Amino acid sequence: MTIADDTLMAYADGELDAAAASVVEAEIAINPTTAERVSHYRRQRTLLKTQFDSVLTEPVPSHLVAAALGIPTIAPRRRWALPELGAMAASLLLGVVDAWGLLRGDGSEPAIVANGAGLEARGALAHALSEDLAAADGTVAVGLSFRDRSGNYCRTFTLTGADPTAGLACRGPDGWQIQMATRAAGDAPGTTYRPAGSAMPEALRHAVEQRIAGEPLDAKQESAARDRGWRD
Amino acid sequence: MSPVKTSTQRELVELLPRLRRFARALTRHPADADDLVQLALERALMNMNQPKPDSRMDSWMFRIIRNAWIDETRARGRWNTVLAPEEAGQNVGDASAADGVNLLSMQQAMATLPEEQRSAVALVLIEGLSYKQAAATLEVPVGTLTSRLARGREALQALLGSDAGGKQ
Repeated sequence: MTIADDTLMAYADGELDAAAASVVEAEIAINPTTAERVSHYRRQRTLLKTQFDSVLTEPVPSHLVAAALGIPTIAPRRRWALPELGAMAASLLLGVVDAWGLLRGDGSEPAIVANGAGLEARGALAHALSEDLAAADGTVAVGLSFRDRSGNYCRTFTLTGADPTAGLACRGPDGWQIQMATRAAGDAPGTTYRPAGSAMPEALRHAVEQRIAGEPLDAKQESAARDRGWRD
Repeated sequence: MSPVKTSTQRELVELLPRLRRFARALTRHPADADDLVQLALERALMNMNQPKPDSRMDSWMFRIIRNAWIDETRARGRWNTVLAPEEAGQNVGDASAADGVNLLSMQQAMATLPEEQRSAVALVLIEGLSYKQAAATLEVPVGTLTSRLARGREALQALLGSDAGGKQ
């Protein structure tokens, strides 16, 4: 008699009632293959359990205890479900404008300037956003392109140099509006853009996640959108 | 302000080691697991009046953790495919070097399972829920749970060998 694997598994997991279990036990007694299947399921269970049980003896981080008790704390850096970034993003943005825009004193055209509606991309940044496919080009690199929930095109960018900056711009009627920008972490001045997720600041990733509709554009869609001037 | 510590909250504190273990079985990285637990606790405290599967706090928390995990991997999956290769898996816990080898391979093997199978394996084999409790936690019929569990175990066996990685 052959007993289905699912039944043997349920037996090994203690899920069968007495009558069904006795059928399996009778078969185990006479059939080494069945006995081996059952002991395989048991070994697998024991192995998994003992290995993950090591977590139980680790000290529980205090911020988790506080979270369970509903005590507000300043939690360690969160990689999940970022808290509201409004104030923080705003202050970062000011620093970015200092570095790249209004106060830029070297005579070159600023990359980001304030206009009536907010902050607008200019110069090399505006050019790269309009013309480049995802690639690095001198001090400006364009990363991901996508459509936001209003159907506008948006692109992430990185400015390298003394103040490495990562940001998001969306195409408005009059040009590229900066949605957010933040200092890019870790990159030494002059290093080239690394299109890896690990190089993407959380704040930027969060900004994209809040706006993106569907999937990012692939190379073909991106190229077609550029050819249409990032308008429908 | 002194927060009110209800018996429910104390129960949550007592559950923390298990919640961390379950999250560790779902995620690739210990830091992700703890972030996931924190997020789930916040969601739980905001929704304390929700009915609990089988009136069990542990099942309810496992469900919240798993749903939060699905939400986040959906968001994150897009980034992984577009921007970054999967990072290498990490060790399950701070275990001894001798256990490290097995832990690593088991963690990696778990990470290759589809989420549905991974959740079923974690709830039944690691957390020790019955098929019925696990099915209620995942909001699926018992037959569905059983088949996910069987496929998950099969995949683990294929990856780790006939002793599920534990050659004597």
